[in-house]
Amino acid sequence: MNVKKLTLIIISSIIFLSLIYFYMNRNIVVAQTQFIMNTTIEIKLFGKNIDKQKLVKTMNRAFDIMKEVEDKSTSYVEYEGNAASLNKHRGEYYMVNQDLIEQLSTSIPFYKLTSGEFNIGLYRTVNIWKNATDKNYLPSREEALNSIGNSTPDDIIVDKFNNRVKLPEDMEIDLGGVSKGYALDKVIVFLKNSNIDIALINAGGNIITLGTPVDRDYFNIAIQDPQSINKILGTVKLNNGQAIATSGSYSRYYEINGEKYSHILSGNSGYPKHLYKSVTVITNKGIISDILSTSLFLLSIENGRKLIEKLDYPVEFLYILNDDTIIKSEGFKIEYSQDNLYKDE
Amino acid sequence: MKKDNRVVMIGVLLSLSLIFAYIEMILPSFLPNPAFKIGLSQIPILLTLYLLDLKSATVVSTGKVLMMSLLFGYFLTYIFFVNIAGAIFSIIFIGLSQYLKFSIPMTSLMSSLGHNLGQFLVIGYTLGWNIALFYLPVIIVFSVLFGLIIGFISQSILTKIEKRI
Amino acid sequence: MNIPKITFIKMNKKEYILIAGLLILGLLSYFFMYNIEPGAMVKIEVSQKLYGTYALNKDQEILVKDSKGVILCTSEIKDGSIRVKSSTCTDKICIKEGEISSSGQTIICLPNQVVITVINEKEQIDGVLK
Repeated sequence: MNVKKLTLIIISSIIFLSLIYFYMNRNIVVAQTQFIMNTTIEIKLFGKNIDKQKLVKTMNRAFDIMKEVEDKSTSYVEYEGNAASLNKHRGEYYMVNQDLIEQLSTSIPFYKLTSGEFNIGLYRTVNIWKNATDKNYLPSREEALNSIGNSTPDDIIVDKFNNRVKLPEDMEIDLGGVSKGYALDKVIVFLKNSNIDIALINAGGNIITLGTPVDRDYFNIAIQDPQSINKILGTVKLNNGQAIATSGSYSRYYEINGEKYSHILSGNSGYPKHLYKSVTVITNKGIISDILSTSLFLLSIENGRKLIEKLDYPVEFLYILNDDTIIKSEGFKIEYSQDNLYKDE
Repeated sequence: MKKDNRVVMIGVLLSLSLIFAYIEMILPSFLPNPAFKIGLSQIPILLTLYLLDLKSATVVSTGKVLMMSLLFGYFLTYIFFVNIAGAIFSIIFIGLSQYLKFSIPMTSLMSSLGHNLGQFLVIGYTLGWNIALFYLPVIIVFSVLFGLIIGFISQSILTKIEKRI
Repeated sequence: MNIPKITFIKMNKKEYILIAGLLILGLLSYFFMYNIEPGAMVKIEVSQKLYGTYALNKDQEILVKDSKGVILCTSEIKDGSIRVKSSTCTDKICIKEGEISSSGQTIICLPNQVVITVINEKEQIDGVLK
């Protein structure tokens, strides 16, 4: 036993202790919330044996992507090649960005699939409702209907090869019910390319998952009670790559004369329909979950089922009817909270 | 060695062990959990093992637990049984090392492993295995580290004693 | 005083392998057992019986007594973590253990057989769909 040996032991024990420390801290989670697309968006990234700074950088880049999609899809602020500019240049071919092309080509077919209920050409109608809310008067049915115009989304010409779009003269688009879901998909693709295995993105009414936490094979998502912010209807388990979206009468609305009018407007009448308290959809693509929750909210349950059958995506749904009954697909596994007042059909 | 000498030696080493245990108790812990100890009191037990024999080491080891419990007032309480289980397992592991002809540091490692394992078994049995299991990885790693450190210290003391005589 | 000749056995390959094996075993079990997530609830057990569960987000002081009503310790929940403030035990290790807040962490007071464990009561909710 000599000094050399003793120092060797001490050094090796220090190395071991730091190794232990390293192993105990190897699962890193970074999360942040930012206000984008009129909602708070939370991005949570889970890293294994990865530098935390790197993870934070990736997260910030993901937020940037969401902001980019917002700017490219908004109808309210004009940027070169975005929806607002396209609305200005209606009636002619106009060069737009790639993100807009993809959102348009995904959402236009839903006009026919929903017999006109899901309509992206409602920019003017939405503006009427916003104005009406500010001035506190209820728009008449005629006013809402007239704002839609005679053209339908089917009349939009999307020239994918030249990145050009031609809007009909009497139509302006609003991608409010599409771009959030699209942005989620885009962020997920980016995260996959950045070698992130586990992530959860919560955009309020839309949630998308990538992978699952280290210790289980699902993400636990609570669904808020459509009538009370502080209560939870129940929890669902989301697997890798699943996207969930909800549309409700009471989550976002126009308040006129103390009455609440859902912000989801029928593409046929330009008026809200209050068929259900809320509709929740689980599928495997963000944009589809976003479009589908809106579409199902406007369709009867029977027509909704028909729409789902026509799609190539696995879809699970849950309706909360106005009389507080719940109708859901067989594969929609929800664990109700104890104080839940709703009842199964 | 004469029998009287043996008794005197055991007495000296036992009190040494008690002093070390006490020192360790009052020293602030630098480890992640204050319940973990380096095991300074193992040094006199190892000295007993090599200067006398396994039987004497058993006396010192169990004697230490007994005396400590009497001094600090936990004789025949739960923690006394936890500690005595540690001491007994430690002795069993030392015996095993002797049988396998292990070196001094390795014997010390085995002793500390046995000590922790004995406590682990009692805690697991009485307080629930998942709580005990939470500490198992820590127990193994720290037993190896501190067992070896104590072993090397004991070995250097023993070589010095050997040279003096 | 005569002392028997001590036979020093050198550490050999067999022992090194054994030590390495033990360390690998220990580190591997670390690897599998720990994932650090903040806990939501805290569970207090006395002599293997559940004494109570408490939310970690509500600051409070909990007086822990045994079945006969003898006070064992006082624990305090503050800012999402729990610690033992005072205890009637002999070694006071539970007090020295300080604050815990991650799921799976425990404070054990062996003399009094009090076990405080941080848990995720139901299941951790990863997100709320609004």
